[in-house]
Amino acid sequence: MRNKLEISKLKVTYGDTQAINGISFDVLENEILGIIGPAQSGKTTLLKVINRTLEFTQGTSVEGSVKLDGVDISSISDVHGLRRRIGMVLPLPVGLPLSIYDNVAFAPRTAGLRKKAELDEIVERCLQQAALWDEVKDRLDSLGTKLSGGQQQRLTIARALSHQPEVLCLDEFSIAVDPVTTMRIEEVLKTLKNEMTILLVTNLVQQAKRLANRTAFMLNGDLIEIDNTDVIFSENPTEQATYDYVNGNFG
Amino acid sequence: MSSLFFHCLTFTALLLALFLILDNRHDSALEENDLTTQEISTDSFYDLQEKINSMLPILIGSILIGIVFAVLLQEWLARESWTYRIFDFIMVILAGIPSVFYGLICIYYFIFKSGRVSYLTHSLTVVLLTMPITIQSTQYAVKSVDVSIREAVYALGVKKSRAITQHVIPHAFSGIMSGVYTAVSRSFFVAGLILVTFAWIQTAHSRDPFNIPKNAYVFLIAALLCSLGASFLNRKTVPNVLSSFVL
Repeated sequence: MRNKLEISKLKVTYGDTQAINGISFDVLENEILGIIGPAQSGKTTLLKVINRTLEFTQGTSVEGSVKLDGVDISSISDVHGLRRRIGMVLPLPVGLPLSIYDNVAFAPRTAGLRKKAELDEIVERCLQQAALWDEVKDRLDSLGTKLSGGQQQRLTIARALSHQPEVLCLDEFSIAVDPVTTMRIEEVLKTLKNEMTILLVTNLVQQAKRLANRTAFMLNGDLIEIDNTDVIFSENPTEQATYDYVNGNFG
Repeated sequence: MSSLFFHCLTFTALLLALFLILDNRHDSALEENDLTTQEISTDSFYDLQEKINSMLPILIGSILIGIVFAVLLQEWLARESWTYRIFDFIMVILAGIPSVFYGLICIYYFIFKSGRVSYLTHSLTVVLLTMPITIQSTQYAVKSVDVSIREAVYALGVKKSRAITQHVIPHAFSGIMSGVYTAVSRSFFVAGLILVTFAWIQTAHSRDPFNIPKNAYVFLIAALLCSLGASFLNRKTVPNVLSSFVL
């Protein structure tokens, strides 16, 4: 498999605070890379750098490079196009004040798609992938913000899938979703990895163990270890800190 | 004590002062015997009504320009830049000044000093009264929109202008409208009261509009102090109140 993302000597600071301390690693095409670590380890910041939404946070500086298919993302002038290639799901559901249908159709419409039949097909496919179709297919015109927290999170996932991203960044996607639905979405993610590369930031180490092909462990802005998930969760990872974290000795 | 109490006191003091002024004018007009009281008030109020009607487009225009300016200031200008800081400082100062000051200053400089009541003077008064409050409240409303909304929209590859017009402004709409109501009511109910009354006195052929009874001055000063008190309680920052005094 070829490299989809190449992250090299990446440093991020918020004012005087260093959030990421010069990390380097590659993400392979069509893999699920789990990123685990305690709070303040730089996981969410990393995702924001990758799809360039960190630019909206005041007082940040980014050094090093992130390459998507060999192209440095900082040199890409069409930043909106880049964000359509790298989808993002935030930890808490953000229901836009639109109907369920319009929530999912929002990004394709923004990209210029107008045909009703094509939009219908996208909406149905994305809602099915997010395990929400059966629950909302009869009320697509009702407000997305009226759904329950778990349903709204699945709607957020459907929205992120609507522009068919090449890379999907999931930041704690299951924090507001019940375990049964989480399992259903996890099954979907296993299927989706054939079509896209998935970066899965999670505090649930068992979720990374279930889903990820490889897992990266971050601590205080450093990349402690990245390896196959089997190795990270074995009795003999390279770093003792990794063993301690995945076994609940700290964090 | 709440700022509402001070606002009530301001309003009452102003009403009493205006009552005394009008009472005095009424007597003077009768003594001078130039015109009947009925003719003075009718002509003056027709004139004023016409001017108020002509001011409406200015009022609406200043509100719309204020909203657009505030959104541009908040969303497109870097907050660390000097330009942003200067504009922000000016808006805080202008919005913090009690409207009663505007009323008196505008009347004195724009009307009596210039010697005539023109469309420009009315317009300037209305713009000064409404725009700073509109700009500041719009800034606060836009700032208060949850950052996750912006991030969610931007993450979908939506352009900034579209994200702001379709998502940020609708979310901030109620806050913006509250500011607009405040700005309009401020200009209508406090300074408007002074403007209308002094303009009425002026059109009643008075040579010296500030020749008012001494006891009315007491109430006017009390109104100024009460409005300052309300301003202090509202903003709770010494620099703002001090700047009000200085200006």
